[in-house]
Amino acid sequence: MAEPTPAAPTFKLVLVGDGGTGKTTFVKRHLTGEFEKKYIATLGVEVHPLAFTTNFGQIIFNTWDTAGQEKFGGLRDGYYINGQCGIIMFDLTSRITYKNVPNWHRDLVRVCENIPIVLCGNKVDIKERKVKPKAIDFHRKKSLQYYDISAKSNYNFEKPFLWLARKLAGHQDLEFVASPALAPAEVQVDVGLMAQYNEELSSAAQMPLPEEDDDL
Amino acid sequence: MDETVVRNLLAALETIYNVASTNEARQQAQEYCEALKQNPSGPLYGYYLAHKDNQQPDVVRHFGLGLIEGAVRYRWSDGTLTTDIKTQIRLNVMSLAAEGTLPILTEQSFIKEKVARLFVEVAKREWPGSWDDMDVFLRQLFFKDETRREISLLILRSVCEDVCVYDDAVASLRKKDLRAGLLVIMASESVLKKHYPDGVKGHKDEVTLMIGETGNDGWISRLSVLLQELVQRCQSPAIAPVDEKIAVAVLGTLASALDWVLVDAISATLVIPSICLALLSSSEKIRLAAADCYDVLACRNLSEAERDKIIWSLLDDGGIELISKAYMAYATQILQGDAYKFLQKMVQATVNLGEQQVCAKRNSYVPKDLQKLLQLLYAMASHPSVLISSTVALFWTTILGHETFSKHSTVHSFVPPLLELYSGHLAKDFENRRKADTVYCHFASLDFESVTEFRVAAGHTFQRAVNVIHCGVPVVPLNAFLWVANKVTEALKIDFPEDGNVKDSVQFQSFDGTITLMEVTISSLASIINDKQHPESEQVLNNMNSLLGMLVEYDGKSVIECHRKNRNLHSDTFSQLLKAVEFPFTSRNTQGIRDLRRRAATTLVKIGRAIPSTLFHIYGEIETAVQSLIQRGAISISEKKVLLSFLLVIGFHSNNTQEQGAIFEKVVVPVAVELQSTELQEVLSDPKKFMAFIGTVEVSEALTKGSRSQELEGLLDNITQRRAKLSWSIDALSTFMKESIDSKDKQHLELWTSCLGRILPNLLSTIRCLNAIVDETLWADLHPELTSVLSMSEAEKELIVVGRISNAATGTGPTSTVLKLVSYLRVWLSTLRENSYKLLAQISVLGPAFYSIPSLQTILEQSLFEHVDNISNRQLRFLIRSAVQPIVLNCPIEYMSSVLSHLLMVLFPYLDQRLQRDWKLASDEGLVMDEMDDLQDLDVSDEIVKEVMLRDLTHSVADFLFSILGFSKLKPIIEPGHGTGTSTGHKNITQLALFILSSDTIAQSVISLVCHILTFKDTRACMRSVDTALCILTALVQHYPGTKAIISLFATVVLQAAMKALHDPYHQEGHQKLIQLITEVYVEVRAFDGTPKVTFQQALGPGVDRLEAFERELVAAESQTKKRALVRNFLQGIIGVAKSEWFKQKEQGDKPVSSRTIAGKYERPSQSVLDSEHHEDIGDGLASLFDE
Repeated sequence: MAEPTPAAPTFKLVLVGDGGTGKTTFVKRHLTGEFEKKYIATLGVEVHPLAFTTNFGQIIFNTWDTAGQEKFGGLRDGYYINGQCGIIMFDLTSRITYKNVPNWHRDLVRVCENIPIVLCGNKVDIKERKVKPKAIDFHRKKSLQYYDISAKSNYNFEKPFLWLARKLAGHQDLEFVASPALAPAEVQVDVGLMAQYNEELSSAAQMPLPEEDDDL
Repeated sequence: MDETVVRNLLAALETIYNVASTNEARQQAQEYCEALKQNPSGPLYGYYLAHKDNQQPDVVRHFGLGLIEGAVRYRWSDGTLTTDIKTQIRLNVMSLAAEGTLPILTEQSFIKEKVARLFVEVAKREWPGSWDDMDVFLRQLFFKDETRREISLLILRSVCEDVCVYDDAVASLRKKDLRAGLLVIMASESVLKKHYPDGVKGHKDEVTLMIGETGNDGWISRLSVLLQELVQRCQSPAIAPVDEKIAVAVLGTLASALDWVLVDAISATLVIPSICLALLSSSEKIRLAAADCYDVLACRNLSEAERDKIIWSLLDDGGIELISKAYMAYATQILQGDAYKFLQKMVQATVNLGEQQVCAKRNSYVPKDLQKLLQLLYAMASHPSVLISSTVALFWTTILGHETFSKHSTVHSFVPPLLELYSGHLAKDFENRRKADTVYCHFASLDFESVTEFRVAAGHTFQRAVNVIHCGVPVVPLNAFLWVANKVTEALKIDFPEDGNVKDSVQFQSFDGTITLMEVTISSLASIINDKQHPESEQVLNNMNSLLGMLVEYDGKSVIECHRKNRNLHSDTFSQLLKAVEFPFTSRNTQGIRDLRRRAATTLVKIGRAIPSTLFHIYGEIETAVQSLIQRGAISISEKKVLLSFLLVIGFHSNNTQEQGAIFEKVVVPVAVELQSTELQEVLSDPKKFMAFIGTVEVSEALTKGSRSQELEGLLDNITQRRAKLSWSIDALSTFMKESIDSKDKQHLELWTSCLGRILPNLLSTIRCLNAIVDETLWADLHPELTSVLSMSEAEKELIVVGRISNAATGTGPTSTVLKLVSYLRVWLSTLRENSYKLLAQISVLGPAFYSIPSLQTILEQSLFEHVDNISNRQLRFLIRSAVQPIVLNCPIEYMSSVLSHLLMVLFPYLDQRLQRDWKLASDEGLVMDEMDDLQDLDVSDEIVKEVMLRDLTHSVADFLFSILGFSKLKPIIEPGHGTGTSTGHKNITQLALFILSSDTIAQSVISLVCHILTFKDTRACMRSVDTALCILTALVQHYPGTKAIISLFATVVLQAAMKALHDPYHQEGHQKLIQLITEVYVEVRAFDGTPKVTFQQALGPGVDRLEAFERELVAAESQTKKRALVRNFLQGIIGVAKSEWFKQKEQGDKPVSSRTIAGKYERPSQSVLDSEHHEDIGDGLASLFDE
């Protein structure tokens, strides 16, 4: 991980989503390079500065890893105050976590108007995918960016951050010039399968949106 | 509030929000905050902290609101809050909304939103039943000042969203109450009175609610008046920030309500024109919010009358002009951010308006401003964004296919420009365009994250463009053809580059795009050209000739020579295409050239099918050219097959029947003779010889010797050529037969009959050999690697489970020559099997000529079934579906006895035994998949593959049985009066079904098979078998007493099987149909037979009294309907109500208790009750009967 420099632009990133979708694992992948094998529910919030080196200099995301489980919610939407960007995470192997995405989105935008948000479907490495690419269309209704990711295999790890960095910096040509220090992948994703998912996602993007109805 | 607490809280929140704090310190601070939430005084602290007058920082105020929210959300119903505290909390929440926030431009939006949300949390629990003046309070806020007005709008929007848009758990518990309340407060008193003159259905409290409050004008009217004022002020470039905020809030609230409020409430106001005007606002935020409202309206599900009230008035009263103006203001700009979002939303809403309202299924109203709407949609279709253009294509396809609009001249006038526009998407040159066109590239980079996404989208756009052209061409056939012909003439002059990747060249893309356009055009016109009854058929054909004449004239030739030149033009065209078929391969781009050649060849066949009579005039030239290509060896054997089909298509689809015999002799007979060759006869006489012929021995020896790759490649070439002698003939004959047989055309049948003797012997021997060599012992002496031919490849497994082969599987084709040899052989065998079955099925269409072959029954049994034990379930499924089913179905009545009797007598028990064995095995090993699973979710494991194959076979057998025993769609073949003529209605029983059921042995075996399928754990097959059993029942009843011997057996086994299936929770989705089957069998058979009663008695065990009472009622029942109802009720008494119905009944059964509204309060059955398998209604007898 690149060392933060004092002058680096810093942004508050709010990470939300149902409990068990892999938010903490995702963040800690960057911090420690270790894959959290056991699940310990986050209480309230934990804040982690994640630094990336770009062709425009360093950028830091102060990532507010919020509790997904309501009973450990702490200040809940209080943590979103002054958020500058967001990631909503769901678990591709659990339909209910995708069904709850509209609620997370609604809560987030009520506190943070017009912030760039990325929707991430985690655990794409697991073959028993339940949320099919064609079913993922919420991001299109709300103009979010979407990525399949896998915290376990590092697949697309930097993509959400890169997209947010470009939006926040206003430079579409911003690139990460050094990869964040990540531990070797725990598993390898099936490249063919990922290509297929990408193709299906693109196909889904071409389909007309169903009637405006956020009840997934 | 205690100052220490406040101080500590401030410190805790400072720690939490300070990024520099450690997570441990933050954790401690959070624990402090959590303790406050649990404090009984928490909600009161919250009020103090949140109120603006106490001047706390925003984060503290937000936390204060969170304290109240926590109490409302988690403690409202748990008994820890007294009624007084709840009342106090509600008053505090009202106070916060009324005076707790800072002025509109000062207050943070997250505070306003939180106050609104808090208010809604209370409302969802209290309103309207226990909070009857909430709406009055909201109105007071609305009229007080801008600050309160904004809060009231946020509250209203939030409550609408929770109840009608989002899947909010609390709102869903009282959805009926809340929705009714919202309907009332949104509409005016007069609208409510008109809509509910006598109150709504239900009880008197509800009526009070639905009549609404005297003098109340409703929120839609209120918002409409306000919006009207605001949009006037918001047109100028300098908009007051307060106005902007309020306008966005009004539009946001409307967007959450327009989808469900009473339509009269909308039409009684000027809200729609105001929304249209808002689209023209200089404020981007207002425009976006208005576009959201527009989209909600465009998507709303409306009746014709409702559409008349709000949509046609929108379109006819100048709305579309405003919408067009709003879109066009930005249509040509290079946009991004919210401006592009607005444009996209406008397109989405307009397409929805067109598809869902204008093109609604039964709509016949033509809006006055249709021209303007179509102009707007055409402008949208022309947008450089692939995404936008592609989205609009959906609308054009819909309107061009719409019953009313497809005939409308205004729509017709848009077809030529649309063809021009969308033909531009056929060339698949998007990559080159992206590089060359900066505007196109700009929108592509906004629309798509990656090049892959862009490519896929461009592919979809291509398909949608094809659809638009396909729908558009028949609308203006002559103009379309004229335009296409010009393009084709130009394309045929294209020279392809000798080097490089031909497929990626601009020339190929252009050629390919034009050929696609021609294909789509011709296939779109085919029905008009071929249908002589069509009033425009001749005109279209003449116009086509005129067009060709015009083209010739354009070349400066004499009009008198027109016809001859037409011929030349045709000739030239086909020469060019034929040239493309023999386009030389280069070592660098074999696949690209192969694609090009295949494209050209199949295009010829499609053209041949569309204009056979026109082409027949130059048949001689075409035939010479094709024969020349064949003789010169310039084309592959698959291309040869396609080109010969082309000749056959021209001959057999044209009107010139005299020449058909000669063409058949030249095209088909030589291939049949090839198949009849003595060499093949010898090879097919013995499976071992067949194995040697297909090269197994040579390959095995080469592998044992350790031959080098190059030698193996050479060997592969030799073997491939040899195998082709057999497979090509069968494949070609099957294709030829498909193109040239019409079962009603005597001449066609005679021609093929004359060839039967040449084709059939070796065809049947091929099938026999294919089944025989599946026996592993025949491969024992060969090299072990070859044996893997008998197992499935990974790609095949994936195909079986997922339905397609992933990139991963296709990308990993065989790498070594050995694997290649094995893979090719496997594919060759499987293709040969498929084609052989197909050809045999086609031959059965010949009728008596085929079925009268002496000893056909024995021949078929030997060739199809002698080695049936060897073949896999997948292969057996193909055999049943592709060969056996058509042979049985096509059998003429007079040959059923000689050809089918023994065959079916053996087949049904065999299938029964095999399915039972395999299902038992599967059950013992444990079923690994759920039918309802999305197959794409499944792993392609051996267990899954095995189970999918078994299920597929079971489905095919169930479908086969239904196809042979189902009712005929033709006129009845049974004389009325024959049989009992029961209330099942007189169905058309087929002669085949009668034949099967008239033989006791066959009937017993088929009934047994149907019943066993009913009980397998496969709901799809089970449901199909229910249908089949119902058909059998009707046939047996209609032919009673002739069917006396079989009907009681039928009733017994079907009732037992159906009740067993009913008892199996696996078939829960099919319970209704199973109950229907049991009911029908009981009611119909009980009239003449006691078997149903005995079967029920066995199932019920000791509960005989109940059965006796039921039987007495049944006897007393006068009508069949009554009888059915009795059986159904009796059955439900035995099995209980379906789980899915329990909750429904509970809800319907409970009477409302609320004072003014529908209570909708119900006790959700506890989890243990819902999940219990031992519902008290379930009889013990039935369960115990089948538990064994």
